[in-house]
Amino acid sequence: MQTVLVMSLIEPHVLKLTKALKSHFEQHVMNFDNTPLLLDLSLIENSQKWIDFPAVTALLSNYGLQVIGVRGGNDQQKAQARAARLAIFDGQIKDLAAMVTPTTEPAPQAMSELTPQPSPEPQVRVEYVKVLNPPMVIRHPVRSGTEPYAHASDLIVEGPVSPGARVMADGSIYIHGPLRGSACAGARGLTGARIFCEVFEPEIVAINGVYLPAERLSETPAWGKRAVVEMNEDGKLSIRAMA
Amino acid sequence: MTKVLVVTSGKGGVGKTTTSAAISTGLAEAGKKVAVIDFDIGLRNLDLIMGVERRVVYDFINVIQGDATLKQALIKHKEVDNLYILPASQTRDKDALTTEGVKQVIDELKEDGFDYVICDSPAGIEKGAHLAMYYADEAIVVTNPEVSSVRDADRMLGLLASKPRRAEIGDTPVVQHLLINRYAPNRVSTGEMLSIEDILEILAVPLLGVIPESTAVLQASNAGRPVILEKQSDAGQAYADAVARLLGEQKPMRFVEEEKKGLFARLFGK
Repeated sequence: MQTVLVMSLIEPHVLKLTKALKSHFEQHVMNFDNTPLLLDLSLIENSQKWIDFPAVTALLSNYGLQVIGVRGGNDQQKAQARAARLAIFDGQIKDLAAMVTPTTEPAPQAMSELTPQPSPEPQVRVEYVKVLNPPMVIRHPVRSGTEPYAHASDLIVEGPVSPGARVMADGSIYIHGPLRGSACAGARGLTGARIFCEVFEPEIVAINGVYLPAERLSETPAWGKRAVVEMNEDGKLSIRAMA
Repeated sequence: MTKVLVVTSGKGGVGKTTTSAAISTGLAEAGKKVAVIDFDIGLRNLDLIMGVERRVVYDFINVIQGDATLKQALIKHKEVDNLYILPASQTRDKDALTTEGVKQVIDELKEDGFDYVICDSPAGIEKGAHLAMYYADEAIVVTNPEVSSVRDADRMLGLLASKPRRAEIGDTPVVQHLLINRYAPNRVSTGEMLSIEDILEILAVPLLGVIPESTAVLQASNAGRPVILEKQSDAGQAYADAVARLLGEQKPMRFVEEEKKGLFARLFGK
């Protein structure tokens, strides 16, 4: 699964957006490198304003954000997006890891009566939606053919993970037994997630979608030992035997 | 209280039917009233192993479809008291099996005071195997000491934890037993086969028994006598031990160490 950043547009005016983004990125150092971005138009669906998609796209690309498409919006806005060669995403995209909400001057139609005191300063608010659930605990061996997934939490397994089984978690995975199947931690983009196990003999390990198959792993000195898998700063997986 | 026990494996050819025949015969010899059902619809084998193939008139499917009564279809074993065989149909396919039909037959066996109903599962994880395990209270998972059958056994153990009725209604889980079949200690020491320890480490279930690789099994199958009746054979004794363990006795594992060669054998290389 791929995490997609979503930006809700409240004020499509390019100049205002430019100012808002500028002030936001002065306050928050964020490194986006050609990161896919989805523009959410649902807050301005009632607006008749013309959206200059090529300009917005170019503006965002300065910050390393690559607009891939839009969701929501009225028919006119969708037609404009289509003309700008953007994809139209229909339906729900759930459980977003992060949401960038540029709250410039609130759009009159959307918020006129709901917010009696609109914030005077144009600002962009970044909201990381972090959900911390208690860990999912499995008290039996994870058998071949099963795929337990710990949504928005860590996964603890009190037993072996068999070949042909796959354990997944949005957080870290702690296996108090041998790992002989596949393990996928940080499944929705948490690069700091780790995989721990007592005997490291997996089929595949992955963190944040970066994976290594057993063919490559069996050469590591940690093979067959207590080990932890983590992601380096350069985005590569490292496997380390634990004492 | 009737116990429904499924003998299953996932992989074919590991010895499910041989085990079903031996365990059911052993339980009957121990004084229990036992029915053994062949769930391998279309590939009927159990009747051959039990030596009753020439007495099959009605089968499991006939009973389910109401063409015959259970009493008409159950074949009483000639040599062992209290042992009854319900053969599979050779002419139908798995679709003739239904959950309600299986329930009806098992309920009727319970009413008739059977102590054990042994369900001999077909290979695979399709409908036949599902229905064989669906009403189970206990399960014997048969595996050979090689990686593919161990992996299939692992898959089966996972299904046994989630698919049977006990799991569906949240009752206590199906009691799982592992039976390692065709074990050859000398081939384990040369690394050709997985050891008992290797298998237990992967599967992590209690071990019911280890049946040695034995020519007695093939001879018994061909003769239509469950191998457990061959009291002198190593495989027969190993099955007898497994039955005793199933009934709660403590028995040490036999036939798991390589036989020490005598002086003459070593001198003459045999």
